Amino acid sequence: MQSDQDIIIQFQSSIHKEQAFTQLVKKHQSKVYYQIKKMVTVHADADDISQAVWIKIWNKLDGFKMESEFSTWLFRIAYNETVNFINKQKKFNGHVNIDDQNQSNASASTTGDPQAAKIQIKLEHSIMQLPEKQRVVFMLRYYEEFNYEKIASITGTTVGGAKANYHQAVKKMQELLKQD
Amino acid sequence: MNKSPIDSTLAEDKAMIEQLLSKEALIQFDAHMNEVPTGYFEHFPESILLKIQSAEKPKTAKLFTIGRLSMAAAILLIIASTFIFVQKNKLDSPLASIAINEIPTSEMEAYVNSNEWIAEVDVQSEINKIETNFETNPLSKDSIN
Repeated sequence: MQSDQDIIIQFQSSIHKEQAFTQLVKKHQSKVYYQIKKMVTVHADADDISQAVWIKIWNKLDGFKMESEFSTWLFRIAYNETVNFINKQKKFNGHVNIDDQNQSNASASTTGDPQAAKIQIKLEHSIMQLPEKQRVVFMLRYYEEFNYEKIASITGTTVGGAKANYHQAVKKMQELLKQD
Repeated sequence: MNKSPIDSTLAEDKAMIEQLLSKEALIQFDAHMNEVPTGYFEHFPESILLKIQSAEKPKTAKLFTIGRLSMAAAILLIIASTFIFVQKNKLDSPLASIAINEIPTSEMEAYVNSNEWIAEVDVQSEINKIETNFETNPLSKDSIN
């Protein structure tokens, strides 16, 4: 498989940009989508944001100087687009109805075991209650297993800030789980 | 094999959350979040390219329209200025020459002759005036001498 750098060079120098771009999309689309979906939980929203992210990548890739890793840049754009989307939604709706969202998601996902369903709802509820930055830091650290340097670059914070966000997220989840 | 400091921290970080929630629940959450409609990723690159192409078309069309409009304006300007220039030239030379040509020669001669006659009369009257002055004012003669 070609490296990101090779594909980007191909994109930047070629008149057949579509081919290089399609390669990049195929390579990274699932990770971008999953990162976004873990933030918004609804497929339609995750799809809209993913599309906006890739359109932005298309428009800006000619100017990408490869000073940072492509995946870091991509995840940063995805993070910013997701936060913008959530903020817009908050402004439009007043607040996001986490309970409705979680219950529908959890009930759709769990099969049979009521205890598992309960834990699932609790977990989703507590994750969705986290502030956006803590939530994304938690996701990137726990599920993507990114180091704090990369998480800091994606979220636009310092390494210390990212570490603090993870610990705060865990603490808040602990409190939320106790409440339930 | 020794773990790098980052790996050990990652393991610690993971253990922190796994003490609160079962690992199974966390895996289940991940699996649930990774659910996508069938064929979604297969069609996504195509659909995103279509969206990019459709977003770029109006831009090109707009640029094309602006280009066409400016081109039309330039052509109109050239036509208008050429028309004005030609009209001006027509007024200046050919019409004037036609006007002179249209005057009959006899009329022109009469006009010139009448002017000459007026000129002669004027000269003659001036001479007469000077002669009268010499006769009436003798000082003027001294002054001349």
